[in-house]
Amino acid sequence: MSNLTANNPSAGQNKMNQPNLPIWELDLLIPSDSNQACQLIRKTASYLEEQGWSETDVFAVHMGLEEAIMNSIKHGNKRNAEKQVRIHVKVFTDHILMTVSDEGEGFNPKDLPDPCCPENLDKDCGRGISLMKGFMDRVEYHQGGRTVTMRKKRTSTDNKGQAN
Amino acid sequence: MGNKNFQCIRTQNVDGLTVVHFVDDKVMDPSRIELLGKELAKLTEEESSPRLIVNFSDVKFFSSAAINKLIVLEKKVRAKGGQTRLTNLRPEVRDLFGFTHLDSLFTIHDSQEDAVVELNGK
Repeated sequence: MSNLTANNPSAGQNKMNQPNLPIWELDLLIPSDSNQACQLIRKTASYLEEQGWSETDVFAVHMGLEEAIMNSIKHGNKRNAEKQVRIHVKVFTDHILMTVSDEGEGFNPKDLPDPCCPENLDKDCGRGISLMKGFMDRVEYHQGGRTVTMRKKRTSTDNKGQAN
Repeated sequence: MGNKNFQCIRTQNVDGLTVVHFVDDKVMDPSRIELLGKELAKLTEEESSPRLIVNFSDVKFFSSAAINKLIVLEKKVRAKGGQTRLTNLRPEVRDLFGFTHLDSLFTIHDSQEDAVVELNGK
């Protein structure tokens, strides 16, 4: 992970004493490399687990972040190693914001075939957006589809570890 | 279809059915998922009509790339006239199948015992 954090000195910084700011933040550029993406996702999930987020919430964040990044690598950057993916994660006391951007041509989510149609169910792609929408509270596309922003609220059943 | 030297799955025979468990609790690493796909494919090669129960009791996270391997497995088993059942999914993993409507492609049981009973027609 050191090669990732070296890309941005603010990666993983803790800002617990500034209530209007995220308590933890990652802002990284990674190449179109799914292994590096996995490291970043694990780092984010581990932080949430340390902060007492529920398993359900951590699962949801994990799923949303993974699908967004893998979509950027696979469909956005088309696995071109020279193109990068920017991942910006901001953890607040009661929610998390995640923004993932790629250097691809963009797309309109409305133009995609419905992966839930019976004729598309057994195809090996197209489920990412359904998963993001299912597990996140909000999913929005910007910049012609090159950037996706996701928001997930922390469930209130287990708030230990929150910032004051 | 007995135990093999698999790295990503464990198999056992239960009442004439092959029960599959995952070794990793978080099934997300790309290279492991590729290997998982190959190992699942081997399960379908030896029997003329495989009957598989995929038990998720050890699984805390399952990526959509891994789901794709399951879909391939299900298609191969179905092509050979076999049957696949999924069991013991934690709620979040169950949601994964629900959000994508894959719960209409797979037959999902709450427990392994339920799947054994159903497949053996007891």
